[in-house]
Amino acid sequence: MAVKDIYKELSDEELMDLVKKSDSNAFSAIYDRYAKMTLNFFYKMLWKDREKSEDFVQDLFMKIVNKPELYNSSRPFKTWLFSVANNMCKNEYRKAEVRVSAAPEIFASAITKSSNTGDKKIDKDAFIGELDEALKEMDQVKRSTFIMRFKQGLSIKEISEVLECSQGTVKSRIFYTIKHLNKKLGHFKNIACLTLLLNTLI
Amino acid sequence: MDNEFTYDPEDLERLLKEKSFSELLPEEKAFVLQFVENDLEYDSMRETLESLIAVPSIEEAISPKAATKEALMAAFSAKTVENQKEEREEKTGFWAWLWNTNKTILYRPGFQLASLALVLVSVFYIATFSPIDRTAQVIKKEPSPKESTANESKKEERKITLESVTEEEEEVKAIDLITEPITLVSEKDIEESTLDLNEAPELDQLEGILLDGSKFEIEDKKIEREADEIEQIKENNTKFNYQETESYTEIIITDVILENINADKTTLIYDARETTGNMASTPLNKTEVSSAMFSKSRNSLAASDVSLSDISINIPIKASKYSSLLSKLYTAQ
Repeated sequence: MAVKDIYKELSDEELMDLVKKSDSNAFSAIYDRYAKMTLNFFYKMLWKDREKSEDFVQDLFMKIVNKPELYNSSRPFKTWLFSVANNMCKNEYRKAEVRVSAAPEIFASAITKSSNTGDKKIDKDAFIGELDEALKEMDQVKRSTFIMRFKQGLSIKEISEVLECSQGTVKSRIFYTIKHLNKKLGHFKNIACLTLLLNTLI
Repeated sequence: MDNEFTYDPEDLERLLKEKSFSELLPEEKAFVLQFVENDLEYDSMRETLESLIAVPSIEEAISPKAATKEALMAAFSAKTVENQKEEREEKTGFWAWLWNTNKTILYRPGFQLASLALVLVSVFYIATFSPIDRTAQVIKKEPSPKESTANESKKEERKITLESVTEEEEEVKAIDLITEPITLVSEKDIEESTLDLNEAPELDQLEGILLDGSKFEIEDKKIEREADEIEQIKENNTKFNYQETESYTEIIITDVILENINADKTTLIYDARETTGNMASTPLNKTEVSSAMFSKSRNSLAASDVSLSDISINIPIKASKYSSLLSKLYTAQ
């Protein structure tokens, strides 16, 4: 078995123990495991700004490079990593609030909303566009909860650990988010059916 | 019914995922309708949820650039080298030697050096800043019996006794200045006098008790009263009236003020009571003090043959020799 394969079989926590001992293979493995996931998390959270998301991923993993001891092995690595990522997003939102108040026109929505004519058009791009727009309108906590749940596939338990709240709170937030999105995106129907159809055709 | 749901709003997501409204049990419907308006909203939410769950698969996922990983791996390698260097220094560096943990604390160079430094500093401090200053050394000096006898005989004639004045005791310890009412010391006198306090036992005695209870005595030649000096003052100062009498005047120093203590020469200022030969005492008022000298005047001097009105006395003293004592006197007052 190749060395890299051995690392792939190790748990996150075991890899982090090796990272603390300056094992570059372990760091490489942990990066491969979470770089894409965290990049997409940042991408969704940071207004689909690709460059900013790349920078954030680099900053996130630089924290591990510089101070791996910040991670406490008694805690699941995945939730710790998303906690750090979520806090980075919070800070960015605070900065953005300042920037928006300074120059609101720059941050005005660039996405032209599709008209709510009640048409039941099946347009996945429009759906995604409106979903993004609806997410932007949400507060940061609900947005991060939703993204972690439906985009990153974190469990309720993991989200509750990331956000440091009860599982009930997470579930409740998710329900009300669905309800809110239903009002915003209710005119889109059968996206799921379309997806299944596309996947079948492909 | 064996229901695994808790029927909390928290569990609505699960119901939405698993059952359409028509599939819900009656109690589940009742529960769901607490949070949604009707079955249409429930089913609409159900469809939305399905769409949201499907979005990640239809949405383009992005991957990090290769350059990001390269930069991170380079940073990781650099950090590793840095850590290894620090570890080496911790094991072999100066501080590691200084606090060699393989030895007991008494044998660690750091502890030994610190102890040595403490001893040296203590010795230096004791030698330099001993609380027993020169004045105290003078105080400790006991006159020999021979000197005491000689001094006693002089005191009858020219006795200066200074004892500190404390408010608590409200008692004036006297300085007995003999005979002449005026004390005048010229710079020349000081320069010619023997200023070494440990010598010239034939000089006048200045002795007293400070407020802290310590005694002192100083041999000093600075206070001299010469008849010809008095005559000179009389000539130079028309306001000075001096009449030769059989009585003598004692100036009892009740207050000592030191000015310009850091100057090369300083001025000793004293407030005093002056008594005539019959020992009737009259207070002398202390007037405003100038920077270089002080004036003392007497408003009245009952039963006195001597008038000292408007006579200024300037007593220059070598600050370097007497500042310690005088400052102590000043403090005591």
